[in-house]
Amino acid sequence: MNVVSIFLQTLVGGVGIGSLYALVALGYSMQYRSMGLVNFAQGSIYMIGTYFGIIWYRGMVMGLQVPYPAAFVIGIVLNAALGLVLERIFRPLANLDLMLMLLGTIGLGYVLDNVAIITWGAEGFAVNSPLPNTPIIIGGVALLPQMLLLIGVSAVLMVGLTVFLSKTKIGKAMRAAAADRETASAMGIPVNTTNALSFAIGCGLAAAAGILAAPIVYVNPAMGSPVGLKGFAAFILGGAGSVPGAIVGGLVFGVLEAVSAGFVSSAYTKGIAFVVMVVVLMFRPGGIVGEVTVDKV
Amino acid sequence: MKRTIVFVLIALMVMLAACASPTPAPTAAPQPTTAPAQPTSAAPAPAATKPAAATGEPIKIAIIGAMSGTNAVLGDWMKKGVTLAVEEKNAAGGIHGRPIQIVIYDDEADTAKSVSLAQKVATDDKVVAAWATTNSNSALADIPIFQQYKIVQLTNGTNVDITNKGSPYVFRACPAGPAYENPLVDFLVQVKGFKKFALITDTSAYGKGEADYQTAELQKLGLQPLTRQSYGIDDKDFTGQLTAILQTNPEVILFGGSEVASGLIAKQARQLGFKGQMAGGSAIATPKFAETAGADVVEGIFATAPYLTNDLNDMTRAFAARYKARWGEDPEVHGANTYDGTQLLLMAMDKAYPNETGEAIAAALHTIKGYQGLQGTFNVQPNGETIDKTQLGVWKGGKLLPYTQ
Repeated sequence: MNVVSIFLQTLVGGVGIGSLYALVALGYSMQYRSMGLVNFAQGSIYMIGTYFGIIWYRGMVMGLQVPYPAAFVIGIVLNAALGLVLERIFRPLANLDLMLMLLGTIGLGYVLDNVAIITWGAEGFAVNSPLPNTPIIIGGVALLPQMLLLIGVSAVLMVGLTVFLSKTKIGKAMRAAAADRETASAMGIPVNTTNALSFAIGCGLAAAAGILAAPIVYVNPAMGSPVGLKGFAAFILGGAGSVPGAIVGGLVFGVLEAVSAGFVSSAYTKGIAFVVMVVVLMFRPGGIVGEVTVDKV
Repeated sequence: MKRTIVFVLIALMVMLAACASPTPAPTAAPQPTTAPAQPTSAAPAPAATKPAAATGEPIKIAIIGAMSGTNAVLGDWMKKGVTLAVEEKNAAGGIHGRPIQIVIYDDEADTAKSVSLAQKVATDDKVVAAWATTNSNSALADIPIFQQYKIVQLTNGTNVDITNKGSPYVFRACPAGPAYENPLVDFLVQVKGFKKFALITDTSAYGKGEADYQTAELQKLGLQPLTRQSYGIDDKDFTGQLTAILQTNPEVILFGGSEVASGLIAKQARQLGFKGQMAGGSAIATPKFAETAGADVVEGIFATAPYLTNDLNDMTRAFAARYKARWGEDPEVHGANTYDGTQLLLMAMDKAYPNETGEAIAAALHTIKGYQGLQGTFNVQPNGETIDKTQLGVWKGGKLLPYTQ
């Protein structure tokens, strides 16, 4: 392998894992935009969403063996439905101060983790890829079909979300509600409904990320917390509340991790990525893309 | 801008909170006398009139281990091996009529949690012995606590330092790390003729230890590893490390990490196009490793362990049948070594009777010589080592088989 293909190989791995972070970061972003709520249960929601899809794919529900694409859709729908329930729980929290919000969502995360342990066991399992396990080799770079699927579907979801928010009536209503709750309300936009929808979309995206990544990673109740933390870092790095920011932040964070593991030192991967995040924020406190002007007081 | 700073502070707090959360209450503590009172014919009749299940005042022992997180499987195996041995003993009359009761705690493979749980079992639960823990890191951290309170500490962690700390209370129920890595490296170099090795290891005491022993043995044979990559125990994507390994063109990748991470590494190495040999110690000899990596990936991988298969002899076959009847799954090396270690403990408790203190039990443990267990012959050494032999196995058709050279 020459240096170029090594770099490209690392980059592909980084973009793959970065897509995962980006989808989770979008979840933070959707919820923050709409409700001004930073949801620290997002990692646990990602984990639950993964189970919601994978239990069908692995035939864990009444022995029903569901094909992967169907399991993917079922997982997203179930997790979005969970999101609607959680939004009702979080609604009172969104008006409280940051500290109470923080404690409430962290507590909910623990509850979800424990529910998963009780329901599905702490041990976890590996998931077989629905696609062939043999890599496609292009110019010395090994491309894993499941990784390409993760990158491709994530890209479609991100573009889809952006179009939805900018072009559709309901998407515009959601943006309006995010920008100015009172005015939007006065203009007849059902703010509670748009908030619930934002929350559900965030949860659905987390499920999509988890189900796509499951055949690459390992599924257990502890899988959520590192991804939740890195998704949060991506959300801040890109610019809190910004949709393109979450995408950029996720990809940058994933690539940073992979490059520091491959070229600097694998023992310090996590540290390096977080240090870079802090340095970027020192120079660009609003994040790479910049904060949207939402300030809910 | 102000908000961003607040968020960064919050992120730091969350990380700290995640490290210090006092979550787990004791998990299901099996009731000592629930086993059907149907003693086997070989049950030694205690002094009491009933030769049935033990009914006296319970003697408490603890299990502290990783019951959640990536290493949850280790805790699960420990719980199953220890509980089976204790239930059998209780059904056969316990320790001269006194049943053994187990309290179980989850340390999440976290040393800080483990130490506070060790304190708790020593002072609150007043146990005489504890399995602590499934992980070398935590086992090492707990040693001073158990030494201070004079409580027997059993572990299946393989880091050599565990028995170098001078505690007369610590016992290792399986061979130490070099007993796995030395014969494995010798075989790969001297029999297979490999010269180019790459190491990949987690940053725990276990993983670091295994890679140290691999490196030392390679150096003894006049070789240097091409590269040594490391990762955190909860990592799932190893593209960066594997890309760095593949660019050195190794013939062999040696694992020094737990079953799930090593399984993922094996899978990802093949996916990145690695066609060479892979090998490792006891984690590689578990069904969890094979299940995580996939049957096609594990084909031909070498592993060393003191308990390669349930089909080794009549004793292991009988053990496997009882284990399966109790837990609905086949045992593997960790279920076997925790069962073996608990047998040693129970023998020592019988010997120490009526003096059921940690001190007396530890002294009795030190006198055990020539006990035939599932892993082979146990001779307890003054430093707490009990057994030092492993066998070489190879994965064939999804099963680990003894390798005949």
